[in-house]
Amino acid sequence: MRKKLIDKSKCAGCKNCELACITAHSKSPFPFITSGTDEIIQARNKIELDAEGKLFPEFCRHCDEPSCVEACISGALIKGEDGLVVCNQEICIGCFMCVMSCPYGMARPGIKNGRCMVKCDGCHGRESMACVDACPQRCLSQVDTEDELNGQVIYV
Amino acid sequence: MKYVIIGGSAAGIAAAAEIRKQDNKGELTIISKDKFYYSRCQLHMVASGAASVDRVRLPHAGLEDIGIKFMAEKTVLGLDTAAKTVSLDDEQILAYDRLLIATGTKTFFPPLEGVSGPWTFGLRNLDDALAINEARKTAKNFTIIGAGLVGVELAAELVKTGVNVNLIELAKHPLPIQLDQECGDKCSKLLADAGVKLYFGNPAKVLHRRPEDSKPVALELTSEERIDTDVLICAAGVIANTDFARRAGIDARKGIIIDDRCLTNMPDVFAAGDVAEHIDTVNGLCQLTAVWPTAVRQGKIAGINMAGGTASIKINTGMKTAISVMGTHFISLGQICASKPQWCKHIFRNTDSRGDESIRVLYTDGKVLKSALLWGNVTDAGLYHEAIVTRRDISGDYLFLEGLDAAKRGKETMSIL
Amino acid sequence: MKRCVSADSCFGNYLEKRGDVNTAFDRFEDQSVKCGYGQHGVCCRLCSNGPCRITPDSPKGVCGATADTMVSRNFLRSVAAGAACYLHVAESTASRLKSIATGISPLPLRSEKSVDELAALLGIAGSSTNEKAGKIADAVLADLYRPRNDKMELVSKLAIPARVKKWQKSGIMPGGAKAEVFDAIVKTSTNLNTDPVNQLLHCLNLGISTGLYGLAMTNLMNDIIMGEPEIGIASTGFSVASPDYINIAVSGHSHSIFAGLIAMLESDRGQQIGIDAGARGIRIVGLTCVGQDMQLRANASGKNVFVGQAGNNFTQEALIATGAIDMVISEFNCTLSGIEPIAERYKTKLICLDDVAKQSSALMLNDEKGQELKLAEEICIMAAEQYRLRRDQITIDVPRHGYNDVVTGVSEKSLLKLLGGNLNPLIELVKNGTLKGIAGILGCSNLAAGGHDVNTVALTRELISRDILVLSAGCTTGGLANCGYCSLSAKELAGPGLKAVCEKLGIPPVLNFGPCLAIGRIEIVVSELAKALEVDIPQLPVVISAPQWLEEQALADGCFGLALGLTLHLSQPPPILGSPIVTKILTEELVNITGGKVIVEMNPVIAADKLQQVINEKLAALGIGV
Repeated sequence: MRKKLIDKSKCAGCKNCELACITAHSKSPFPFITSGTDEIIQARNKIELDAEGKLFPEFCRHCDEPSCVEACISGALIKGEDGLVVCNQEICIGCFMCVMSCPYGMARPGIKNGRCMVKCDGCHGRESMACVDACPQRCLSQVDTEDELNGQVIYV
Repeated sequence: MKYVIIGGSAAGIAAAAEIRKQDNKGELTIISKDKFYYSRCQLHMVASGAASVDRVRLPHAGLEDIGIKFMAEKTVLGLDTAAKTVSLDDEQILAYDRLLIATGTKTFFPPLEGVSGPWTFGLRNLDDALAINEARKTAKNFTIIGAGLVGVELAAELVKTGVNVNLIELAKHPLPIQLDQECGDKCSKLLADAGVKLYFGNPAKVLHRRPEDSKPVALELTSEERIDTDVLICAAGVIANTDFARRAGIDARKGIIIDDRCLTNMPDVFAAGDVAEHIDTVNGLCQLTAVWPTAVRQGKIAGINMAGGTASIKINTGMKTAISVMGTHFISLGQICASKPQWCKHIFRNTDSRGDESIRVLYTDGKVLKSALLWGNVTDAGLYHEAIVTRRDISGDYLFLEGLDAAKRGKETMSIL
Repeated sequence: MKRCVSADSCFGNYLEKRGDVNTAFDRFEDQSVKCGYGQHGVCCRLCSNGPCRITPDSPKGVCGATADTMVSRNFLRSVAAGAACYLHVAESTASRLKSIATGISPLPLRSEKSVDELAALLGIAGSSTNEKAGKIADAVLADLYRPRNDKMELVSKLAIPARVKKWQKSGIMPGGAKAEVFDAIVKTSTNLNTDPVNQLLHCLNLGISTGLYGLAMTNLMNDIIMGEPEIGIASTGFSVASPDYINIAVSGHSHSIFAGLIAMLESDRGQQIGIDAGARGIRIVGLTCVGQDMQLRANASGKNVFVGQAGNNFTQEALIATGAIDMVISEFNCTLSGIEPIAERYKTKLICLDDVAKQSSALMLNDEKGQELKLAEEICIMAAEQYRLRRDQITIDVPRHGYNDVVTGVSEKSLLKLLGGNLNPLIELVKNGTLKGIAGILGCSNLAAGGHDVNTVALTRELISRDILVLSAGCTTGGLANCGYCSLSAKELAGPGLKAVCEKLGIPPVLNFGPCLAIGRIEIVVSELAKALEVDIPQLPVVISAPQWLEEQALADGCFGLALGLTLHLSQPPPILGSPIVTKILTEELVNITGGKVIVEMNPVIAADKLQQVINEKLAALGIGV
């Protein structure tokens, strides 16, 4: 099982993971960061600051009991067999019940098109995770393990 | 083991899936008055024609594949808790070992002269939505009584289709439970700008009907103003579907009273979802908690307990709503309408770089976040929700109120069940 | 959703109230996560193999550049840009002086005394004031335009001999200032200089031309054109903008670019344009450093048309959102891009007078020499037109904000006059222990060091409570004035010694020298102190701090302070911490070269401790009892 390991002490705040996420989820070859088409140009992850002002890479945890899925009224959010919580943007109606329910703030309203939520899809269907590939600090890494427990995303 | 679930919506389906996870042998039947499982929260979209029936149909999570029998379009008429059977409208009698009542609610029609008759609807079931959509083909004037969640969302959707929409509300602003005066006024403006005609603080008095076909003509308000009305939609509250349960001796007030395992006062009879009443985490009162996520949560817990597991309700609230009106989003958490004088109110106003204005109204009791209203940018709503329902001590953490990131609480994982 | 705080609570409250406006205070929170590579100076974007960043796993760029090379290269590029900015101001001021002196521009030279004094200092002779003024301008321009191998001539006349000797010995005497900037760009381009020491010495070289030409000579030439500063009482804060007048806010650094506008507004013709539009007249509201300069020289020019300094750089968006400003004229930097949407909403006309400060939604007007009064009239007419167009369409909401008892007009000359002709009384106060030292609180305001003016105010409060006299120039003093520190009543915040001095001399504990250009004036005061004590600058019980430095110009200013041999405190480090060599040189080894040293300390109380310790060591070395 593919898991994401996050060593927050290594984060340099470069936001490469955010940019890589935008690029990986864009159909455009030049995903302009601030403008463009109707496409949601938005990272699914976010570097934030903790109470001491230290960098904290905030990622969807793909919870075992995901509040967002529980709150989803459209059936767009599903926790799949692979353990990843994924939003089907074709089905999502942007009611933002998930936004209201995620205790990490990682179910977020789409900025461009207010009628759809965006969240990390664990790069499901991709060979590797875009954010992990782009991290120059190795703050993010990917581990493949037999372990079904202990979640999809592990903070160390 | 025979499991019978009455009600095929959020709580019922969640319970069924959970039972199947725990017990893959037992016989599992869902009795539903609906044709299939669909999203009740999107009925206003169907009513306005913005969404097709297929669009709001929800996946059954492969119910048939995992051996769950879905009895569609059946109504339960009686329950015999001694014999452990339920009787249906087609005279079938089903035996159960464990029963879940997840029958939800029905529209409350206010005691208004002329209210009963053709072209008067609620908006609770798919049939209601389809009827309103059908009426749009010939009717021009739609009047909605009640500017709660259903009324406001329906008004906002209907007005987009070009019909005349009137919204009647007893209170001074729409969504009186969810919004404070300022955001309420902003919401009024959004609706009014879109063309909805608003009548607030002015209750309906009588619905005048045409003698020849009994169709509505005009709704007369207390102020004696007459509003042209072809279709009247009542969205002024709901009544829990407790009839057969009450007759069978199950304790119910507005809803069926359940304990923290979703068990009623009768052995092996559980209840969950909008029909159930349980202590609301936010205000400590036993009340209906009629929102989708809570119904799913209760359904899951009921399911686990029915299948012999143990789970209990830890967090339970109906006082949360995410709404979108004409493209503006807002989320209301906790008792905005019932704030206490000793609470401290914090208001934060910002305009972001895109020029979009956001308002946050937060109430604390000095220690705990009691309620939050986010207008515009709702990104952080989940963090406030978590703070409210866990009653986390945030005294001295003023920054949290201002809008702190999840990380700032220094939490990396948390358990929600 | 969080909003950055301000030390100026009245201003902060106004921002809270104006949640309908997006300002830097909101955007600062959106940008709270900083890229560590940029912060440490270890990102290099010089070639297509990059951008390269230094990490533990990749300690060198593709070309082989080390962290030290990347940091020093990036730092020198920034210092060069900062120097270029100030030199641009010096150059345009000298050309204006030349144009007036030769009779092309129909404007007065408001201080003949300044011409004579400066000519004497520079050894320039002439038969008339105008001839001398013209020659001064020529001398400045000649130095600026020299090739790099030709040393500038005025350096040895503007700096004290001990410094000149030190600079010559260290090999940092600047050649033609523009050529030095030019070669700094060359040096820091792809696969050129990789020597951090050589690059840092070049920074000091640029610091000298920044300080002596960009700052000091610009002030002295502006004194000639606009008149000498005189100590007086003035108003600051948003309240200076009266809705009864047509208000033109000015932003930038070149006082003399407004010589024409001020002359026009001093005339009946200028005011009549405003009166005809239905206002009581036309007034100038100060914003950023050029406003500080106008405040400084208000007694000599624009006394009745300049109403006061509204605030420093980060107050401008809110100022425009009050609705009281009809027009903003920018001629140089510190005008935030963020004012553009607000100006659009409030129908405030944006004008630029120099294309280096052209904003996308501003109208660029050609400031042609000789046409200054014509341009000024055109501006007045436009402002009046804007007034007519907008006033009934917008709401004006000016908060009660600021102080009306701010002591302004302090310069190296007016301070001497106050002290009775020489610095001895000040020296005596230090010698007898009444004053425990002197600190320059200089430079910008930013939002990053605790919030808007937060560290500036906190450090100043600490220093004055320890009887250390504070001299302030730049946006620091704009912020301090709006927090009451430049008012006489601020003496209550001073220690007993400084308080007594304030009472005796009738001064506040923070002396307001005006714009950041006046850092050059404070450094003249420092040089004069060194002369009077017959010591070199590093021996003086004087420290400087740029607690909230913002930009590249501040880095060039800082390099001047270091070249002068002063101890310089910064709350936030410049982007150098990725390089052990550069960090060590600036914080430790430089003291052996020029005597200068950088102290980085975010906590204002600890910073004050460290600065006081430096002062005490210097006092002890001078044999003055501590």
